[in-house]
Amino acid sequence: MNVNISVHPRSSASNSFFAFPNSLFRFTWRYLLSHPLQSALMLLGISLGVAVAVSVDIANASAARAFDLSVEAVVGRSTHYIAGGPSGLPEETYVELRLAGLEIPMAPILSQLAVSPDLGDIPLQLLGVDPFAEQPFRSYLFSEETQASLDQIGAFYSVPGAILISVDLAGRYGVATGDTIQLIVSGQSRTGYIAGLVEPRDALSRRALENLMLADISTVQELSGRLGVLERIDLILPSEKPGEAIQQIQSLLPEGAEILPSEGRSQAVEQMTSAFRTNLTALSLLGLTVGLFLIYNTMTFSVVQRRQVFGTLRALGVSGREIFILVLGEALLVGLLGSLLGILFGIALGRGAVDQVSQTINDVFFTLTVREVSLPTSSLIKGGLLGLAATFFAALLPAWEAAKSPPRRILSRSQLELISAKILARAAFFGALMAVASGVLLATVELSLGASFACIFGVTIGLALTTPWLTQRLMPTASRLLAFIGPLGRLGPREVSGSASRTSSAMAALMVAVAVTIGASLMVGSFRASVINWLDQILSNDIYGSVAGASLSEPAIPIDAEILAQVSSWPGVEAVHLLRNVEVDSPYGPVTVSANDNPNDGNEQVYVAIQGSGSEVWVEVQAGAVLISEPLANRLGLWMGDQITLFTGRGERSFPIVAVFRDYSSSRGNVTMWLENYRDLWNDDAVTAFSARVEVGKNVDAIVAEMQKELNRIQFVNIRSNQGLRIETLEIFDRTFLITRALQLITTAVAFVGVLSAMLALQLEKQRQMGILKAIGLSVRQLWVLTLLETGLIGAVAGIFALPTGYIIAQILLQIINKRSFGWTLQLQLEAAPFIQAFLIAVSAALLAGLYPAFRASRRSAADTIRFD
Amino acid sequence: MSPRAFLQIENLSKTYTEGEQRHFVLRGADLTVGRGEFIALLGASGSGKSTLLNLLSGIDTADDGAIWLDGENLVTMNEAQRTLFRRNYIGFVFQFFNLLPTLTILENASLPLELAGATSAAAKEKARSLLDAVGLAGREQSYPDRLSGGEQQRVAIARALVHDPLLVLADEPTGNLDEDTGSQIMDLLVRLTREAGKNLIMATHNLDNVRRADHVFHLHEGKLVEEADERG
Repeated sequence: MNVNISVHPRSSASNSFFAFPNSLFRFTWRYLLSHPLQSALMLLGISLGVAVAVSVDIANASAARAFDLSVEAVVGRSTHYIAGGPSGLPEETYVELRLAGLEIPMAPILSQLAVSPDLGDIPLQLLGVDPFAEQPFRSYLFSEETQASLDQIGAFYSVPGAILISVDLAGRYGVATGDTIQLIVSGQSRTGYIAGLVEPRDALSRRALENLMLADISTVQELSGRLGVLERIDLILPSEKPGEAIQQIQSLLPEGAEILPSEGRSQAVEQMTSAFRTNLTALSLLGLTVGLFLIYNTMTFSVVQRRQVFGTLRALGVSGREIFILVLGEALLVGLLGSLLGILFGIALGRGAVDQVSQTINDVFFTLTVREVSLPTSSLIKGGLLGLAATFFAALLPAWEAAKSPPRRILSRSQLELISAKILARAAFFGALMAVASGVLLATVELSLGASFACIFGVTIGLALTTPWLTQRLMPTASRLLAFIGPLGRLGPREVSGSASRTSSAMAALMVAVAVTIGASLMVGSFRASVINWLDQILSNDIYGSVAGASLSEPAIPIDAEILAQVSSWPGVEAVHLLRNVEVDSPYGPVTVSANDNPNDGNEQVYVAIQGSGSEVWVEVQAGAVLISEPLANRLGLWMGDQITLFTGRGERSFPIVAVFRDYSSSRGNVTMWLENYRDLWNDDAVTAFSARVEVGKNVDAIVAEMQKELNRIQFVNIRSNQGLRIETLEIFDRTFLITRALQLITTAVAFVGVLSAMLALQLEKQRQMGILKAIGLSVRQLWVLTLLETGLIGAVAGIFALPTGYIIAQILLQIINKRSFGWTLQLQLEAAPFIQAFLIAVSAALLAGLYPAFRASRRSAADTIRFD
Repeated sequence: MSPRAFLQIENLSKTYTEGEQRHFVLRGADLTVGRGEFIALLGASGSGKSTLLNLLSGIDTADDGAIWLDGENLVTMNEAQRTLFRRNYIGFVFQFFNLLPTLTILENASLPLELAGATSAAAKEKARSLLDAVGLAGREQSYPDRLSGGEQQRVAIARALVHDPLLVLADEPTGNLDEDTGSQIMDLLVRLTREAGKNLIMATHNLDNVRRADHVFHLHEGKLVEEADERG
């Protein structure tokens, strides 16, 4: 037969270096399809990593959005506000300002948190406003579009307890105009009347109105029992020469009233949670980092497996650069699919994470109701890009390795391992350098929180890079130690050492995940122990009381005077101490003041910095000095010997700081002062919490139960025994770290997938070797032992190296991250349990990952596997 | 370069270094081949036959000397130029077939032509006619693992010729086949290359294959020596 093979004229020969025929794409695509398990594991690794990052981002964004809306709803477009301090402003001030004829928009405000059993029992902002003054400030509340009918307006002013709520809120809980509802305001049960429903004009108004109850200012004064008082007066000052306007207004204000920028108020609150959110983001990125090892592992294996094929392609004229692009494209294809899956999975996870994050914000920072899960496009794009970027970087080295495949020549396994040993040595050197450099940076330079986390990553990843090289050094000893098992005991460690090119990245990934588990467990454990010690020191009384619904750590709702009178004369109560917890304004933004009348309080603190004894310091406090908490000291850069300035009811005052004390109740920090001094300066007699000491021999729990029952008739209060308060505090503590544990678990799951993928790859490659071992007499049982010995050793080695790494991570988290995030320092409590648990996790995860490969290997017949090659 | 020469090797040298030691594989080898000739390369294992094929295809680079092919010197080309040269002008037949397992045999056979810039349809049409010529009509959509060794080598021959190369290089093409199948493959390879007027250079140990060659060269101590009597 004659065949004309000259259809392709020489002149048309390709001179392009990038000829990408469809066959090459098919080659890639079919490779992925023909290795479904491998591709699926890689997809899983990427998607889990992306999902965690997306879910945390969604949770953070939802909380931030809810916060912004609540700020927007309350602050509106005001540029400044007149603050009257804890006791508020007399309403005459507003009248005087109006009568002065100033051409400055101003609106009086009195807001209060309220709860209604008829509206889902969630905290809502009861916002008291003057509707006629509102338009320039919060236009969405009283614009023409949202204007209620004349009847409703009439009722709004004339019916006691009249409120307006949004149509959505009413619809959700099945209430309508004309209904009466129960309201709990400042611990008192009140009756609210729904005078009308507000129809929001756009999505923004809808969300802003979600958590609001609007009322006339006089109604809120009645409901909260603050007659004749305004919380503040919002102002819109001209952008040009606002100073002149401020001077003009200031001259009309009573003593103690200050004009402050609105911006500072929201910024201070925003800053409170930013560290918490940064911590979560860092933890979520860890999942992706572990996923990075997994991608690297899978891609390396796919390249190694196809070395011969790449060699053939090179011989056929495919350039190294084309192969590089081919492998990278293959990885990015999986990365794209994995990222898309991860985004979907992240959205689902995000809904759970939102609850966790908002719960923590409520427990630790401030009252925030997150009703809607925000799905910001930026979070989704960020997640997708993160997945693709992680895939790209993880696949770079394998792609380069593939591009270097010599045409046609096939490297033997031993040659590959020789090359791999060189790479491992270089990686170890580079890793050690990275870990040391990051450690030195952390120890010597005052870094931002983000940069500190980058350095923790540097230390962890650096140490992970040294793990495979150190493993190589450790295996001969393991071989000698396991020799008593027989030949398998010697063979197992040699196999681990001899397959470093395949197992190194999985081992490093597992090491990172386990080290982080140890680090986080030690940190949380040490933190918990510090909190328990601290509680032991500060909780010296038997009974503690505050208004129901008030924050446990910073109770700010005033207690009815009748309650305090009853408690003081309660049978069996020996002594009662009062506390006023309040937010006051200062040049640094709002600062919490805790003023108490406990003469022993000086001895009931744990001090970070003090001169003299607790009693001596307390004498100075009684004379006008203050104590500040460690987080406040760190936040404001103040220390013992400095002065702190606060805006008191008598104007700006500076207080000498005589000691700095530990405080884990608030990351914002507080100023502690003598109650009498506070009352004198702020003209505020309110009490927001009390503690009582019970006579020896009396049953504390019985008194608590009785008090709870009796006092609730006057005001809804929470009465807790010393023990009850401790339990509740620790419950909140544990709840705060719930999301941390969940993220840790996912990170370990990603690492597990990494080991499973590595072991499957290895098993696939060693089919022939296993066949030979079976052919020369290795029983199925022995084959199981050998495979599990190998994976167990990988887990054990990862576990061993994770122990010191985890310890280092814990130290950095405790000494540096916690201080920079929340302002407190903690002492490391070394316990064996986290180390033992983590080591067992590493070994179990690895053994578990070895089960399926062992099962597959045992099922394959020797004849098949030998013929396979 | 000699006026009759299509391929001319001049004073070609190649050494490999292993640790401290240098191994001379080629020491000033010379060879002149006319257009359309079939050259058999003989030599003991490790004598440098495969190395010479690698140098002729531009897979490897020589330390010294020149390789003139159709007027171009391979030795002076850089990596990118050699890759393009190989893509356009060289066909390969390996001992272990080296087909791409995830491509069908039609896709395997058409790949070099597609790489050389032909459209997929044109490449497939050409590959189909070659698969027909090597006796694999109707098996175009099969994957390599469904084929016997002999059939895989037929696909490799089709692949080696599909892009109309100047030179076909074959490294022990029957080394992995039984005697009968090997003989059939050789018949096919020689016939197709001769019909197309292509040059074939084959490294082999098989004397039966040697008999079909126009010239037989023996690689001995790094030099090429023509041994006419080897053809029996």
